[in-house]
Amino acid sequence: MPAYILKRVLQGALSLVGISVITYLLIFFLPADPARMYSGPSATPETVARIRSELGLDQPFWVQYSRYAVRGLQGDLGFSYKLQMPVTQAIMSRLPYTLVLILAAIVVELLIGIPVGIASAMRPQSLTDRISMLLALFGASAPPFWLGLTLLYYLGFKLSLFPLSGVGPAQLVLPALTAGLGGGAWYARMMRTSTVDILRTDYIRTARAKGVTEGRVIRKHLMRNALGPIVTMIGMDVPWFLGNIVLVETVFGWPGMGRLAVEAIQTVDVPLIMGTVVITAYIVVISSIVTDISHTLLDPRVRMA
Amino acid sequence: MVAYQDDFATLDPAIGYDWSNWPAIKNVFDGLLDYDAGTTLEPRLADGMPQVSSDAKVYTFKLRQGVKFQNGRELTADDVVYSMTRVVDPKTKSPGAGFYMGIQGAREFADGKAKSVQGIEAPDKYTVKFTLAEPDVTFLNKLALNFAYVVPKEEVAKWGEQFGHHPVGTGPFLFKEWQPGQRIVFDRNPNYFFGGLPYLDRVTIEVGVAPEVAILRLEKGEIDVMGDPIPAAEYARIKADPAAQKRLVQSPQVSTIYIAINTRVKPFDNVKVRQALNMAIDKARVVKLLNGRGTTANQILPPLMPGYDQAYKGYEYSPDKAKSLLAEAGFPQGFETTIACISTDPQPKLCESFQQDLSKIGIKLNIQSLASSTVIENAGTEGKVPLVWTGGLGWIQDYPDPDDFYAPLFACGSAVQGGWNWSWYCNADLDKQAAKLLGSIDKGARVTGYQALFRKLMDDAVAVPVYHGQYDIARSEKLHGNQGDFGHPEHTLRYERLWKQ
Repeated sequence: MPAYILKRVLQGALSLVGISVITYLLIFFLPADPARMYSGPSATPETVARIRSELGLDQPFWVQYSRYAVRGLQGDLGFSYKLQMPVTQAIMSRLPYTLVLILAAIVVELLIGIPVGIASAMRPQSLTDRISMLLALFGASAPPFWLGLTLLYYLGFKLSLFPLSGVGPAQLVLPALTAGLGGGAWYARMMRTSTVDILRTDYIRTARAKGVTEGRVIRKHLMRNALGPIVTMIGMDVPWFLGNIVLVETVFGWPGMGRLAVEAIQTVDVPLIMGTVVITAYIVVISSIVTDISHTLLDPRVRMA
Repeated sequence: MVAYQDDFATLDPAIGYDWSNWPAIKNVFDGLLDYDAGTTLEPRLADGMPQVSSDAKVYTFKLRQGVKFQNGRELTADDVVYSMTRVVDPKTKSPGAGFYMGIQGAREFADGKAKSVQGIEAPDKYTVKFTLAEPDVTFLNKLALNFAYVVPKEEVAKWGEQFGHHPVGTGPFLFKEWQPGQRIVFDRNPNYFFGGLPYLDRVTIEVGVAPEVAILRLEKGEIDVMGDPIPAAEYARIKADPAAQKRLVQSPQVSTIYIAINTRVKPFDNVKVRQALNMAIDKARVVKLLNGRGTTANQILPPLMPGYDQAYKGYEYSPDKAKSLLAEAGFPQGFETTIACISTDPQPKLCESFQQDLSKIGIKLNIQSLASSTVIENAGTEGKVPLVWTGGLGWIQDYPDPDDFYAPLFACGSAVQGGWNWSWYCNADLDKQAAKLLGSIDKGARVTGYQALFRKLMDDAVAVPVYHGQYDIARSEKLHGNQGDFGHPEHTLRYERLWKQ
């Protein structure tokens, strides 16, 4: 086991280095001048040139990258051009909000996905099944930008049930709903499929035959077995959300990291782009290692290799 | 309570240069000079307008006495010297450094060849003297820019690079708190020295509010001003709704949005082709596509700028004449060319409109729709793109002097890699004229001089001026102020002059 963990950690470290080199290369060859974007339209070419050299952007790629990497290894992700503060500080002030939103979105996914999936599976092809699967299709395909604005308009503006923006538990409901609805729909479909399969198994038939109540069949026998794939999905959800939650953050003004990343890209803020990419990659690597290891611990069919 | 979409970058006056933080910086800091309700300079930290030498090279200011920084220390001439030196110091990385390179010895200091800037002096505690290398009457306007605002040395030393997040100045409001990605709060400075200002007890700026949401919040009374422009889709709705229309304040923007014609790329090296382009663009349709937000342009200077020529009529819209000009230039069948255009709404729509216009005279126009950073990079690289649509990147004045529309946009010195002279036009004669005008203190002569200069640019058809912008702001009926305080040409929002019921 320790050897396996060590191997996975080393692989993870290697991917981090690879990701940072590729990202830096992409920014380096981007047809846009970070110094010009920093200086704005009124800066004279002379001023732009001075700023470029002050930022070290006139150096060749390997010099720039190795400077970045050496400082990065000491935990210093640099100084954001636009925000005028250390990148680590900027990200750390935003990351918790993103993680809270992702967590809330996952809760929404589960609250929608599991009951709807089971209800559909219990009566396949019934009206409930058809309606909920239609809604699931809608939820999975509604663009978050549109969905968010629609929810805001009706539930926030028209009915005044929720605040229109700001930060707090009440403000978390609509973004979590917007972010979680699509995933909830997928979960419902998955849950339906696996429930239908499990309902056909011998042990369910046995349980029913020996007179176990339907509620108990669902709780004790069905849920345990149907939740396996869902747990895997949650593990995959974290990285997925890290890449996609930005739309939701933008609509609701949630002060998360996604918005930070988008603003960084628009202004070609090199240290901040690098910082958000590296931190995101770091989280993805860690969560995939944790998922893999917990899998091997939970499921004897998965061999450590 | 004001709402913006993007996060604020910094409140350091030497660095901040965004649409949103420009007026907010003025809450905390002051300059020697500022503007009145219009575009006339008036003293702020200075005790009266400065003495100007007859060659327009030496500017001597007396300071208002007893002005205190928000940390309690009195402001003196040394602070002005420090702040100005800080801006030209390359270590500060000020985007505005170029405005002050004309001060004697500034370049030597920036290059590390001198320990101080020779032309910035403090003869006594309340006197500051600036000496320029070349005459420049716009220097006073440059002193009214945020970059020249006065900062206390000890606070900059204390916070270092993060001074912009802990700003301390002499201004009408005190910086209170900053929650990144959420809000910035300013409180009234009870000891403010100027004109009984400000009126508001507190200014809260919320960030991260999408314009679509901001407008809903305004209607509910949750915010008082929407900082960002009104989204195009909402604009039509507001125009149709009398109640919403009352919340709209419209001011002309001192800007000209134009098509830069690269005079160094074939066939645009031929002046007839450039003139044909000027006649082929249907400008009225562009304004219509913008829901009437703007006025058509026939010259480079906008109407509010001194030197704007009322009598000048510009090129008429006439595809037929354009076609015959093209034939004279040797392109009876037209040709194929490309325009760079930023990819955010509504710019692509406007470029498609140009595409239609030019197809009528036989020119096949390809649209290169790109991120703004890439358009800027390509336009500032010689020979890279024939035409550039400046919509969304347009030049908005820094100060109300026609030089601000010549030097950066059409002078030889800006026709370099990374410059903003996207016409790549260089006329040594015009440069000489412009230099002479900068040294002239005769206002009437300057106006006629610039009229001639910009008329020459139009005769050479270096660009197609398409429209002059308009600044629309949506605000609650409870918030009051003069029209100029919501859309001042230099300040945009003037927080210090607004009041609430």
